[in-house]
Amino acid sequence: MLRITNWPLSLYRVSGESMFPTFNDGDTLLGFRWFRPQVDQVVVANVDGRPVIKRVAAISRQSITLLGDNPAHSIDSRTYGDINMDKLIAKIIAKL
Amino acid sequence: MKYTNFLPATTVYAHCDLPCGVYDPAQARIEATSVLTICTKYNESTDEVFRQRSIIIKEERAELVKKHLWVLWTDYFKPEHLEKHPQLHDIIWRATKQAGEAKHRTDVATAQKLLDLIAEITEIFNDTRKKV
Repeated sequence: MLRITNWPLSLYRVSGESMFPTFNDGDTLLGFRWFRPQVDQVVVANVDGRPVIKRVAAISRQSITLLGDNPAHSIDSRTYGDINMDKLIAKIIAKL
Repeated sequence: MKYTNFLPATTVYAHCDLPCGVYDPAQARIEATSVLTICTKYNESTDEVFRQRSIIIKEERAELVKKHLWVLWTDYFKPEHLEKHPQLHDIIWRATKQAGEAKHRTDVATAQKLLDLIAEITEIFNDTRKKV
């Protein structure tokens, strides 16, 4: 499913360490909101009303499995299960 | 200071042990405040049953103070925080010792000292939360 929203680019700031060593707490990232999710992409997703940043570990028909790069310090799909595709907000395309 | 810190950006959460924001010395402070309140009520009461219950609850609350401080110490604070606040280990050590002291004493001053030490830890914690 191709995701299309009004404005394609967004800035995000990381809070937390579950994406270490890829991203650190406080890193500023550029996200692109028009995207087709793929395995290994780092994405921003809405989980329980909060935007979280994780890596796509698996994709099934309408759901996505998200995992942190720092699994010892990550709350992710191992805890809250797979998320619906429509919860994806953006994919990360650059670290500023 | 990096220029990117000035860019307007949406915070995205990379959850740690628990959803972000869980680390907060407020947890220890709330339990230590309970210890202080219990000591006050204990000293005001002549009801032996109430006093015994107070002691039991105070033990639990003081133990929770230790637990919350240890979580901060081991899970939240990092080497760079220690570098900036070299007194950190000593304060946490003294605070957890003081929590132990609060377990086997019932005077308000002991509980207040525990709160004072937690306030010092809170000051350091707040400093570490500031973005540079």
